[in-house]
Amino acid sequence: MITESELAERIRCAGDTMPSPTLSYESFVAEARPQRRWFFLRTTAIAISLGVVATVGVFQIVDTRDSSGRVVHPVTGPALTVGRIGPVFDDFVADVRAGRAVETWGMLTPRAQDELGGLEQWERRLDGVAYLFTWIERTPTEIAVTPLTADTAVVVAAEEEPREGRWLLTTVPVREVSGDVLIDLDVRRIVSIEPEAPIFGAAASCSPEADRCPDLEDARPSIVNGDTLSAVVYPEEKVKTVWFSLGNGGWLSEAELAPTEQGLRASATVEARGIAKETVMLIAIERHDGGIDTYGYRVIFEE
Amino acid sequence: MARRSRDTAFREFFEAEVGRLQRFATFMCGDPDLALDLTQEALTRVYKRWAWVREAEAAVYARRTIVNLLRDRHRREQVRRERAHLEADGTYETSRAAHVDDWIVVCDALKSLSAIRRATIVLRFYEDMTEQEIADALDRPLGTVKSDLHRALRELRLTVPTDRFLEETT
Repeated sequence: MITESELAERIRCAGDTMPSPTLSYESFVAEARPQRRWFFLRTTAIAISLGVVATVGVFQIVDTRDSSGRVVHPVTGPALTVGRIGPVFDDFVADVRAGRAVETWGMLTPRAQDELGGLEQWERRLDGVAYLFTWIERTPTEIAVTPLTADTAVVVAAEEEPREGRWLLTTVPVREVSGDVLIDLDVRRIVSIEPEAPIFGAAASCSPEADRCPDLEDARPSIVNGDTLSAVVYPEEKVKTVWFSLGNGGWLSEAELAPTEQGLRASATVEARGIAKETVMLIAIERHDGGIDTYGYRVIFEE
Repeated sequence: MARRSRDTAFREFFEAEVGRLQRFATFMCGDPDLALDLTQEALTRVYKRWAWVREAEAAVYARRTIVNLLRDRHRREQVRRERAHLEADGTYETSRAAHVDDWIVVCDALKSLSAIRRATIVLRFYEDMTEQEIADALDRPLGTVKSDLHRALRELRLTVPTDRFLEETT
């Protein structure tokens, strides 16, 4: 029987003698280029709004006043959408069934939820479409395999540090292979949601020039260029950077950070071009430990 | 981060790590061509996350990605052991160029292990990582790494022939 030291030597020799066609940087770039362009179109930076009150796991956004001092109330109901919305859901399904890699959130119709019965689920509804957040009791490197049918997708939740009652969401690439859907979990990009906490919403901004403050009770507030987006995040010692974004990274801006009594205020002025009218506004909060918390809202952007 | 400096920094990382990653991937799958694909995919994912991955952790992230990609693959496919060099009576068929075949013998033996234990062995004996470094790289508890290492070694010592065995069957 081979000894441990002999085995170690065999492995070292094997590594030194194995054939290894060199992957050049130029070849790598040529192969990766389409993915890189796609990536920049949907970066993780995300933007948000004034006056959001929510308990979100690591961060608690506590500011309840807009820049003019008006008290802001959170909009009830889910405002969380990431990635594709509206009619592009059909495109998402078509992409997956064609075997194309798709990185997005999914949406589940009520009928589809029945097909995924047996999973612990937390459901929210927006405009009649159910967003199903599914608890996966696995490590971040485990994969959930869920059948994908013509009208289903999966929004998955994975707990990086399991804690009872704690639900997380993550963006997931979805590939359909041989009838199975494989989901790679990118646990560095997570959204933390406490299931009993109010769902954050109410994107709002005030433009000093236009003297404009949208109705914060509107589930889809409007944003225009020149508006200042801001949020106060807490605890500030965990915050490394904050990013705002519109249109899945179509406009992207690192926020200016300023300490306040309530926490760290992150703000950025919107200067966006070519953003769809019905779009997603997101914020990403990068922690010093490398993790990123993201939040999304459906908004109307009027260029 | 400016796009130009990001690309420059990533390229430096790429040039420093690509060879090691490819060898790691080859150990993991036993197929140099598949290893090339895995390395390409892993490095692409590192690039996509370059703004958030600390450079010191990028190599760890790439290796973990390769392990996870292989685990995906095994879940999708009917896995059949390719033991092309193992005859029915358990002897190894070797060529006169014993060193050229050696990596095949080792990779073949590694295939008997789960992807995680395979990675543990390769990181320990080829990349000379400590058990704690392996635990960090694979995001597993230290105790689990020790256990994996012990069990993987026990199995490999039975399946990897000694050099003397190879010489006697040449």
